Amino acid sequence: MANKESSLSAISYYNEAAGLLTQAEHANLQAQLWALLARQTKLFTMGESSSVPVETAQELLKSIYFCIGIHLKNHPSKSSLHLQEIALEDLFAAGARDVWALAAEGKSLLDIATKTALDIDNISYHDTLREISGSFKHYDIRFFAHDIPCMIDYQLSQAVPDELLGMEYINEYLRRLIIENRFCRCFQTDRIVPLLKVYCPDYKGLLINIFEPVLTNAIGLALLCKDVLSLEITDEDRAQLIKLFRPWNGEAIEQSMRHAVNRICTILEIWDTQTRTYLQKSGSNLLHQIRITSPDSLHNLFLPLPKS
Amino acid sequence: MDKIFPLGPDSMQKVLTIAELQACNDLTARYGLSLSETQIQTIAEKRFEALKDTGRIEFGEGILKKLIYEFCDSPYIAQENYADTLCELVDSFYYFKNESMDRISDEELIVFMKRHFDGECQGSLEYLSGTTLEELCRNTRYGYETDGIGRLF
Repeated sequence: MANKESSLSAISYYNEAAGLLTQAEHANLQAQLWALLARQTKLFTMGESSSVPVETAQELLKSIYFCIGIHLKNHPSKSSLHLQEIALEDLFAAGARDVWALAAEGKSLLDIATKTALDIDNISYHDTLREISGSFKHYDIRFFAHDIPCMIDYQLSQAVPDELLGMEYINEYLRRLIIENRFCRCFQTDRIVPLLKVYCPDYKGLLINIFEPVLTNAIGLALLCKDVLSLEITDEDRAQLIKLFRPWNGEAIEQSMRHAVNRICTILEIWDTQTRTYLQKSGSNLLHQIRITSPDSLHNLFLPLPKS
Repeated sequence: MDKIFPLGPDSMQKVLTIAELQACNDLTARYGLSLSETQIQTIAEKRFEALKDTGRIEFGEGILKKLIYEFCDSPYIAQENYADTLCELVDSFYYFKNESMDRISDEELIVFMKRHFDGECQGSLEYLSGTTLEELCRNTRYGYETDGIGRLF
């Protein structure tokens, strides 16, 4: 999962590194940047146009920042030094190679996401996977490396930060999707689908997240030390959960939530740190929802499975 | 981003543009055309004004030299109207680059402008921009195939 540093966008990395330069170094950087932008514009127009719309130039510039930023991000301790000592053109070329590597990683991640895809009928879920798959053909590393050339409709439980761009965004999206996929695959589809029908009657057509209601019910059952794989929360279970949450003692309930998520990970044999961190964060988000939900409305969070 | 990189070191480009226009006088002299220092300043400023008005940015030489080289032998341009005609042509050029959605290259557009300026427009810039160029850009936007002089197949 992206830690705080890597969730900073590549462009932010560039800006931070450039901000540490002296005025003279900055002026030199600007001159190099101008020349690089001129070169990129000439390549983009194939030499047929000496001018471009300002918006096009700004997008080409963003792409330059992005590529250089990606390279600096891969060398965080030497960012300013690289800007001072290495020609911007070389940094840009190195950054473009790094972006190619990101794209290759993205294809691997897509492969995993496709293999772990849920066999649940939700239009936005499957459309998004198809869109991402098609995006690799349209991804223009040369001129618009910062671009995300696809529509991503399916909403993750934890959205990818908007600051991430291009392949950074897509790769992070796929990583999170894979975590959610793998978690949901631990449960039977014929347990998940009825749950989704209660969560949202039109779960097939609307923009819902499949993972959240599954995790929520699993957490509820884990808190009660019941069978998490059943996903079944009865009215009595809900009443017990209300008693559990009633004291609203911040630290105690947070600790209970952490233990519940750990218990789920143990039962489902989830050992990798990234997934556990993701689940803990989702648990923490659930806790926030519980705090703002009245006890009478808890059935909207911990959903009852319909009686068959 | 704009704080880190305000697009366009204008002062440097202006100096280069002025130098370029001064150099063009050597070629255009044989056609009885030359630009005074004041006119050069005006045209240089006109270039940046036209770019700003049309929301475009230009690197390197720009199109002034190409416009001058192409139009200097026009029978409808004399010393009296040379500078003003150049200013109008610069305006029209960048405007119609936008109107054509950048689907026409600089060279194609300049050649087209010259051919029609000397031809059916008979030196009228109003006719050129109001009729001929509008038609070219409309055809281009709609994806109609044209021959080398902008007429529909």
